[in-house]
Amino acid sequence: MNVYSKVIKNTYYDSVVLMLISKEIKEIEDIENVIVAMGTDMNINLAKSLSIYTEELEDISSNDLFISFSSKEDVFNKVIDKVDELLNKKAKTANDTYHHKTLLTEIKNNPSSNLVFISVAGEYAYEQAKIAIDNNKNVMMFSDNVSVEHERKLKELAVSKGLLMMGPDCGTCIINNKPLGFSNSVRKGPIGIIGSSGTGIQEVSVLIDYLGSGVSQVIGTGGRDMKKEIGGLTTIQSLKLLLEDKKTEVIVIISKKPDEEVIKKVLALVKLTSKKILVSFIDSSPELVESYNVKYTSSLEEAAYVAVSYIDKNIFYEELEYDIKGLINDESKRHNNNQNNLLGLFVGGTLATEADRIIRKDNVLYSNVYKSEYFVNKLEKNKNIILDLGDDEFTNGKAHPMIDPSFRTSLIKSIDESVMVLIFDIVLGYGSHEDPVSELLPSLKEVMLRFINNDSFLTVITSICGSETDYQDYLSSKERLEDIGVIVLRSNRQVADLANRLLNVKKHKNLDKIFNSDLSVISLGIDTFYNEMKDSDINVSKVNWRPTANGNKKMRDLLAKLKE
Amino acid sequence: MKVISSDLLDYFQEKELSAYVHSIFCNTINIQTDDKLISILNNEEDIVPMSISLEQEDFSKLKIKRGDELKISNETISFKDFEIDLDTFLIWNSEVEVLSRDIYNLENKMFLIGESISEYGNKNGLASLCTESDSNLYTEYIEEEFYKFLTTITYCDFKNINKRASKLIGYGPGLTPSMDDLLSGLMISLIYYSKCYNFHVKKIEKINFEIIKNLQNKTSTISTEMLKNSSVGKCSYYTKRLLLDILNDESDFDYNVRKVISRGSSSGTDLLVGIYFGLSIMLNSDFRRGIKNECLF
Repeated sequence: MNVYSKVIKNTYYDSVVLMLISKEIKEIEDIENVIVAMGTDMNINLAKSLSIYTEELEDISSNDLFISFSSKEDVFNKVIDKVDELLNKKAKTANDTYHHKTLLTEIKNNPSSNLVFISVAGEYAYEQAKIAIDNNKNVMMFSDNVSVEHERKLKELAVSKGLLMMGPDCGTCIINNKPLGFSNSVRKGPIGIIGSSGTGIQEVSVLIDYLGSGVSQVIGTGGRDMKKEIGGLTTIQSLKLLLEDKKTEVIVIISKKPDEEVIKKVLALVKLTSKKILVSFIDSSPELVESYNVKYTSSLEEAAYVAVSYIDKNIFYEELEYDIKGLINDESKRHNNNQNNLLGLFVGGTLATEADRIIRKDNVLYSNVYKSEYFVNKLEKNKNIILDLGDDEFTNGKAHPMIDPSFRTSLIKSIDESVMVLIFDIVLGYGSHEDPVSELLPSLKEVMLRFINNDSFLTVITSICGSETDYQDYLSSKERLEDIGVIVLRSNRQVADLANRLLNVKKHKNLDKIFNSDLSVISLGIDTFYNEMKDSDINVSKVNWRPTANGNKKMRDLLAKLKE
Repeated sequence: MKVISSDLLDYFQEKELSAYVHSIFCNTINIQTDDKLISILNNEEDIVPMSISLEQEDFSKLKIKRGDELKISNETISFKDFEIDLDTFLIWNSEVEVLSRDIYNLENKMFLIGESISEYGNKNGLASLCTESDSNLYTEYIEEEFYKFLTTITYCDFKNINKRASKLIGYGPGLTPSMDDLLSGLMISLIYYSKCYNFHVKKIEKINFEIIKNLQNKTSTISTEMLKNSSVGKCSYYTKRLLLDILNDESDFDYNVRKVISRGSSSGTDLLVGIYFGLSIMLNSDFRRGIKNECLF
């Protein structure tokens, strides 16, 4: 073992630089023990105990720096060259890895920056955004838990200065073809997107890419922008920008549950433009939108198709009838009589909302998407349920399920046997898990096998919100899911639609049964009817029924309450 | 915003001084007078005792180098090509200030500090002395000696405090060696916690004096000054805020912990380890009984 030391007398380097030197030396092959420290008695004792003390250290003082190490090979010159290199460029090295601790200093040292991306805890976000805007920077704020009042103040300030304030709760943007936050690798093209819903934007942008077109700019506004308290400030500003932008020919505006007065303010801007404008406003009035001569689309998928059709006349939208009859027929044969329900587990809030709207039209549906008498935020038996797992309630103190799939996989494993169809979304792209499918496959396999072993069958349907150039490999993701029997469709709308049809078929089957089996009746009430049915050779039995509590209403109500 | 610590302001008002530049970094210039080391900081850094905080950006870009001479009066600090005007500063009180205290949450705070060190701390120094993270060669070597030292403090074994402390001071990586940061945190926190139990601060200062007795040449000049200040409870702005949070159950605890940890490389973490052990000592009834026992003094 070779032992070496170098002393740098009476020279001061800050601790960050010393730590970097230590780290770099440790990474050199064949290096054993390393000390990079001040020449105090205690550190010299340490060097002695590690047998890396040499006579170079004899006259060292507490204000000198020393580097001692042992190695198997003779790497002394290599190490010393490295140390000299690091010390000589210490200012640059320290600045490369030393990050300024205040935004203001960073702005001053980086004058060419034009956007500040803020993802600190909500209580600090307002102050930092104000600093950014005061210093003429655009802002994208991923942080949430910012008050409405603060959001409004920031947006008013940004508008007055001709800057964009995207957020709070803005997770997706693509500016000049550069992805920010959760977004996908999509082509450049002439379609601009403005959205107050992250996965809504993602779904539309990946479908545009799938159809062969591309995006000019994708501007997220934050989840509350189209609410009356904010008044669409960023949406309006973004719309004005895109109306002027020469590279944008078509504009898509996306929002979940926008307020009517804000819709009017926003759409009033588009009266005189020759550009094509269309909207995907979940839970709003088509008539209101169309009164402004703007195309209303009823799904994210339709919005993408319509937008591209304005550019490419060969593209047109119809709700594609993939071999739906065949699919429904095959799947529905496999469910047993006890399976009547749907479960939806979504990581994208807008995708959950879109699925909810489609399923709820024909079914009683419980979810955490809407605060209503049908609100539920956990799995319950014998109910159709859709859960948005990205909701604050589930992400408090935890990573978002797009990044950490473990919560969803645990829910999948606990699906009960009353469920007939499971629907969910897979979101690829920047910011998402590096391979969400591989995380889900084991739990999907486990639950599907459990159902088969219990003489039932779980239909699993998903769509992959991703482009074929996203790094998580769209095609491989699709293939791996299909290999285990998952139905993979192109869009979230198609998933919800297929699931809805399966539920309808099941309901119809349950109804249909009565016409295809022998009538067997239980008679409750007047004996005359019972006797007549018996005389007609109908298989009938009678209940010797009496009202509870002998008809006493007060007692009956009390008993009913106890049952609850 | 320009800020000066109160102890430095008092020092400047006493006399005109000659000094030289001891060391210069991106965020700090250290100046050595006959008897004091003074720091000039930019706003990136947490203000500390005997320091001035300026809005200046990168100091290493100024035409100042080690050894440059300068003059200090109560109105200006004059370098060859650069002058700092002293009359428009806010004053920060570097002295110990405790307005109210709550002893019932100290144990919980100790737990939270341990958690913060585990989660956010830099483990290149001495963090593993109080967490379950893997030890490094520095902690492996010093662990036994450190616990012997803690025992002398806990049982007010005055004969051996300095003997044990001498085997720790100057130990570890960093411009201010890790153990010096740890001992600083420990000494400062004992002074602050003593307010909870109404101990006379002089009793704690006596313990601290024993720790740093015969300090000269045991560690770097910068670290020597830090230890001296810490022994009388003087600390940086965020360290002070954190200690007040510990005593008063304030809601900025998490923020202040992270600000302390962000100091230097592992300096902030090691200081926090010292604060942790200070709490563990103060919560030990043997220590509190020893402090109350007059015959030890």
